Amino acid sequence: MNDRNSESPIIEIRGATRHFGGAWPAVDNIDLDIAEGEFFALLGPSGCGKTTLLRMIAGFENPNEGTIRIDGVDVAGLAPNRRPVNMVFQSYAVFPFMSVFDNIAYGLKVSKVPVSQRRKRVEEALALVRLDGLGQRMPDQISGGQRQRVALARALVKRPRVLLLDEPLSALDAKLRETMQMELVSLQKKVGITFVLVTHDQDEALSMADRIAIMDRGRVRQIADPTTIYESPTSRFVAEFIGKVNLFDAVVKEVLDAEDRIVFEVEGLGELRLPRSRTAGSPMPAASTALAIRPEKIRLSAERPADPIAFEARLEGFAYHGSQSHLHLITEGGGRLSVTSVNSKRKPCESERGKRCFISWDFDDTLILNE
Amino acid sequence: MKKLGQRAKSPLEYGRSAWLRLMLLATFVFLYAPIITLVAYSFNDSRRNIVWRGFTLKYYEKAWNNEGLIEAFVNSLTIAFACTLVATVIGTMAAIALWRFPFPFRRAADATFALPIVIPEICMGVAMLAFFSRIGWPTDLIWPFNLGAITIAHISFSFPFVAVVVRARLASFNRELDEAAHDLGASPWQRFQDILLPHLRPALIAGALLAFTLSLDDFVITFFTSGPNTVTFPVKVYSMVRFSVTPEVNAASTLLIVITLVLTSIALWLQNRGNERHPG
Repeated sequence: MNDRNSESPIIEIRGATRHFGGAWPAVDNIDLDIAEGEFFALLGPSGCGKTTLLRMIAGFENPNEGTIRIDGVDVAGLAPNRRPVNMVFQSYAVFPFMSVFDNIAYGLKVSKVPVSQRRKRVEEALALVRLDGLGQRMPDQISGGQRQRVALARALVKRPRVLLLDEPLSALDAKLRETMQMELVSLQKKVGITFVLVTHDQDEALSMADRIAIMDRGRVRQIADPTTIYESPTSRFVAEFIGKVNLFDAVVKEVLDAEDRIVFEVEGLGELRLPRSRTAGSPMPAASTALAIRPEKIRLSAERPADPIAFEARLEGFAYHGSQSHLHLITEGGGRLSVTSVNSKRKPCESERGKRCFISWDFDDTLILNE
Repeated sequence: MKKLGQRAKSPLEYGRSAWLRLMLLATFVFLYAPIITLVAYSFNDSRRNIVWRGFTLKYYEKAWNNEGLIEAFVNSLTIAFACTLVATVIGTMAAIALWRFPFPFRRAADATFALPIVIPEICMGVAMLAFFSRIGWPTDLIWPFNLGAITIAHISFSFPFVAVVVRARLASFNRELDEAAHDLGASPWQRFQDILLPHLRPALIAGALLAFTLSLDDFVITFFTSGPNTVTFPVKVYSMVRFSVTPEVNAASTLLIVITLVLTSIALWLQNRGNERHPG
């Protein structure tokens, strides 16, 4: 991190804050480093400040406090067109009165790139987003997915160091979105430019990004790669925001140094012994915390399993979703859990209400959330 | 199965209600019968506009040879063109300023611009007369500068109409288009010219058309601001009609209707062509 020559981040945000006069700042004292060539996602619920942060990088908003450095240069007060970044807007903002070709050429035209070179670069950009031969079409003569590619090509043709994408797939239908997700990732690998993506769609962030920053109320809650974000969330907010989770309030009952175990009293489940290595730091007895378990990590069995974490439960509800089923269970202690079971066999899991069964999971899958 | 024509009327089939059809017919009669009569009697071979006595074009010839009428006609067109040009530019600038920039008293400024639309024309005319005589506006300038006072009066009451039309169009402008152009390196002027102006084009045409027709047929305000040497067409027609309604007046009015219709058609055609190429 201190090696400023080769490994210095392309975007360096320090203490960036932006107030709009709401209950909390739109962007609240954010520190963020984005590495060169990375596919970075800003993920959060609407109103979490992710778009404001993106617009601050683009230059459409200025931070009230803090600094933003792009490629080592402090960009405070620099207009959007003077920053080595380009943006793909949520509405694509394809100019409706210009042909596809003119749209892509616009950025080159206004920055006085010679006509001959302009033509060549636009043709290259068209080929890059697989729109060859559509240059003379007007925006209302192409599909939504194609308009999005025009917006991409128009930004990429300027050869930015960083491409900013503001909810680029939200206007597309579900099937097209999936295709575009893969296409965006392969495009990013091909051009090697840093992509910063803003999205409220966790699936989009998990499947596309190298690293994700989860934001809430103007703050960054966790920055990590998708697997870490999903498998090891550090806070209740992140665990609940990403995917489904069974969450239980818990209290540290005892710390057994000899056995290297911590005993939790979990609401609705009862006593649970976990290895010390599962918890960060050294929990004090009586400290309150939360335990979480993802629905797909829970195993079901008719007989009491040999696993150290196992509870008896009663089936309350059952929902069939085709590729998987969602089961709702109540433990003897009154804790409610949902369990996802993959329907890998033709006959789905048994669905008798009130049926007794056992649930179990591994130590490693138990999430201990401190916030 | 019943035939299509005998099918019971559904609630939304207004067009099949006899009562509504009658209403529509009456409206058209009251709207267009006077105009059709006016045009028809311009070809009437009679000195008085009462009985039809055969077809003639002599009143067109007479109108053409009436120097006072032609002069008024030229004056009206000159004023209308100048007024259209200036009112469209000012109206558009006002609309953009009110839409784009948050400045203090914006709502008050907004209301002030709309004032000339609601103020009775007669008050506006008297105010203009008082204003121009108070500041000692010269009345003995050579043509076309002697039309200055009327033109200024026309601009001041027609530009708010342009502003209203342009404001409405601006409401549908996607600001991300402007930001995208900014992001791609366009200067403020380039952004205005390449992005905003094409979007506003239909409104500019509609606004200009409105200003043109408002100026061309304005009587009240013009009557107060015109002098003996600056008679416009409506004022001239009024003075001619005071003696008698001759077919000559009909002929001149018919020409005015034709000119207005032709210009309106051209403007609408331009507007539609623009809309076909880029809807929304």
